[in-house]
Amino acid sequence: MKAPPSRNVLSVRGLTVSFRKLNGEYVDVVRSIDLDVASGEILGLVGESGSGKTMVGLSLLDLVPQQGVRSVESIELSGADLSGFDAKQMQEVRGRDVAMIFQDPMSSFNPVRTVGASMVEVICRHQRKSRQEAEELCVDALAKVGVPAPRQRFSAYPHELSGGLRQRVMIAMATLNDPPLLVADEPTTALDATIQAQILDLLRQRIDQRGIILVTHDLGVAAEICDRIAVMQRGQFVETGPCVEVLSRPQHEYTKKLIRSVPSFRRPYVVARDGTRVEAGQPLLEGRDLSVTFSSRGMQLRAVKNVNIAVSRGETVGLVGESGSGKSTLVGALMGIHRPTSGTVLFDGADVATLSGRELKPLRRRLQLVFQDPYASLNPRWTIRRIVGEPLRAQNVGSNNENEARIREVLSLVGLPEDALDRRPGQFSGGQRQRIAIARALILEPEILIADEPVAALDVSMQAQVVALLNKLQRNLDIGYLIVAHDLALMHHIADRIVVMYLGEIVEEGRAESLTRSPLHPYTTALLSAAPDPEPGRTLNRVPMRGEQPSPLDPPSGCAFHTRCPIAAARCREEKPALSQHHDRLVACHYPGDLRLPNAKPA
Amino acid sequence: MILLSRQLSRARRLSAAGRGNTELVAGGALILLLITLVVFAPLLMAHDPAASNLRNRLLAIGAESHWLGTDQLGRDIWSRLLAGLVWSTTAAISATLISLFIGAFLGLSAAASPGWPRTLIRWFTDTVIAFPGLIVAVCVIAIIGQGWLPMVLTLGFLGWPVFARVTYAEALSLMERSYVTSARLQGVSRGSILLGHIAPGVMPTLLAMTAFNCADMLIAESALSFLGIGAPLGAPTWGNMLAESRQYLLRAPWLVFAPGIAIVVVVVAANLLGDGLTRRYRQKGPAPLL
Repeated sequence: MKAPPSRNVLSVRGLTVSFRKLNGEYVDVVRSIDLDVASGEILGLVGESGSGKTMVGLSLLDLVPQQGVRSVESIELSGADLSGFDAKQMQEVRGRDVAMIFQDPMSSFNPVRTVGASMVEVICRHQRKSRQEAEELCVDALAKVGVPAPRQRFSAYPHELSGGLRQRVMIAMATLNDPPLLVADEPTTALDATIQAQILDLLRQRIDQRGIILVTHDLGVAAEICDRIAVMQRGQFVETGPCVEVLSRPQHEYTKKLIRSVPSFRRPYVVARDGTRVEAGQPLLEGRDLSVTFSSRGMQLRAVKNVNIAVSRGETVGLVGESGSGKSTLVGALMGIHRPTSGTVLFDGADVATLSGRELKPLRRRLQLVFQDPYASLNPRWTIRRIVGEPLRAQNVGSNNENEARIREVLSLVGLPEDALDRRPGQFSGGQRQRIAIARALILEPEILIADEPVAALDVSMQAQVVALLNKLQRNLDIGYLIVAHDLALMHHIADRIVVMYLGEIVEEGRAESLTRSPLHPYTTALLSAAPDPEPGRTLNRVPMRGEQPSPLDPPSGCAFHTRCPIAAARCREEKPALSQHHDRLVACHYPGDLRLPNAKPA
Repeated sequence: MILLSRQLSRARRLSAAGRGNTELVAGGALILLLITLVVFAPLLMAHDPAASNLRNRLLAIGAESHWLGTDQLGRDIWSRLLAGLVWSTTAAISATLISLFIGAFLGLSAAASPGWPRTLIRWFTDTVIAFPGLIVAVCVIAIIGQGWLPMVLTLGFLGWPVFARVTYAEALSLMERSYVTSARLQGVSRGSILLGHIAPGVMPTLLAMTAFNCADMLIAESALSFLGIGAPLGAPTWGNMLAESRQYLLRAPWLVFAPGIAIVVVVVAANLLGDGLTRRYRQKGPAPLL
């Protein structure tokens, strides 16, 4: 499958990118790196945020932002040295000799033009073609990247396409002029795991004789498709080599630490949970037969349908599913952000809906929420003292002195220094901010903590720190967690129980280790096989899952998953399977366990 | 002592804020100068701005004891300029403050109360915008007569919709932030959320808008006075000075230039300050000014 590295498509020597700071000094974000990409090779640039990996990609196209300065000894792209090219010559190079694929295809398309118009422009910019010919080429290219009904899609506007389709169109567009080099900057980061797997496969197929530079923070993604990887830290390559070599025998300390921090199904996580996993006890927070329906302009969106969920003290429940599966809405219903259309939310046996605002207040102390984005969940104008103390003031507990002591205590609990108190969120990193958010949620000593993607916005090493913190707190305070996440490998390590949702319904629920080892629902199987895993040597046998999640506005008949299910039968289209007990699990499938994981993971 | 050191550190922060922000420094310096002129106006006036002296009609700039000359009734231009500065800037600032308070209050209320109160406020805002300002001004003058207060009230009550709209839009986007949701979930009352989270967030924008709006109001005031429906006839305002000087444009052009340049200076100062504030918040993010 991998083409022999014959000749270099790209070879760069001594690339440095510097940025001018406000005080006039220059700081190097990329420090004299050398890199080569052979024809037919995918080079992965891997690193955490701020390592300079994106800047390397941009500087190859001379697209460094205005405050930046690029200096380079030589950039040889298919034999021509680009280092001396002026802006006009570079414009010719871009799109013809090197093309870029961005993370968010929505913002890289012009929203008022059809994707076809954008594509034709790319062709006509560099080739002498009539409009007719160009259109034919574009439709061809769309078909090649697996866009269904390419002729219709050609005249669609970007917002009419799903994220996965947009990224396919982006790839088609990048390859229109057949450039020898593609630079893909986090091309799958905004996508769900199953769609990510499809796009990665597509990149692999479309490589031909090209070289591809894949910029990614996700070692799992790099392990899936890269031939060689270069690990970046603070603007430098700390380690370069063949993918399998680097991942299985890392030499540099930083690489080792990075690899350890990534959760994998195939080895223990860096943050070990001590003690045995908790058996669910008497549920403290319970959603019974919950449904949430949003209606607008006569359309009904049933975001959550008849879901039963329970969390008790001391246990960790993982809630998993693709975006649009209703996870966040379910959390909103449990927290009282959304009013359930039917069903009840019970907290400690009391129906939350029947309580008045005043009766609800003491319950709020016992049930807390941590938000996904630590950049939006802290008021940037407030000091940390005020942010963390807000729940205390809202609940009117304690004197000023007591509260001050409490704020200090909870800050040290989450591992933040005391001088953080008078600073503002802007002075902290993402990981530190998430700890501040956790401190705020903990200050009233809740019994249940709901966390909506608490680590998704963080780098892996930060993730590990936050997970370690959550573990420690659970041990000390006996908190019950409901953690919403899309990262199944992580859930495998930290959850006691996993609940899988698809299109607003629970499709499978069971003990974490058993569910990830032998999933019963085909959707769980597909999710597991799509999860990128940094352990090298894993074969690329994915469960083929067709297409994308149907619109929740118009859910399929029968089993909602039958449109994408590899083992769907006639019965699945007509009869809706009920969630029922099967071995140690609850599963909603007519043929539970019929679809197995292609490579069973060692226990 | 602690208070003093806090004041000092504030002053230091403010001066640090100005560094590299030419608009803020220039605008702030001009405004400070204008404020000084307003405060010391009675001391700086060489003559009574209303005292006419027909023997000294239309003296040119540089005349003895009338360094900016005199007008057609022999009144001292420099004194009238100062009196007009007091009259016009106080009117512009008062009108802006009225607009600011009504606008911010209605904007925040609309953002905080979905449903019919919001709809009602937005309809009301649109209705006020639809009123032709000049006609309203004429009506007000016809009913309650000319003067400082009627004019300020008219301008203030006509000017708030723009504040209301901006406040509403900004507040609405702030309400979507998860820190506001978090506060709601903690049981923080709606009032505390508005005062603690939303209002401080809207403040920087409103501050910059206030500066711009002062300039607009000053021009509006001058225009109304020029048309004869603003300040009472003969009152020493820049608009009146402009209106009266029209007939002497060729014989005594300084009569036009003096109030004209004065208006330009104040408007430029307010705009510079507004630009500087905007830039400061864009650069530094929403750090508190004080």
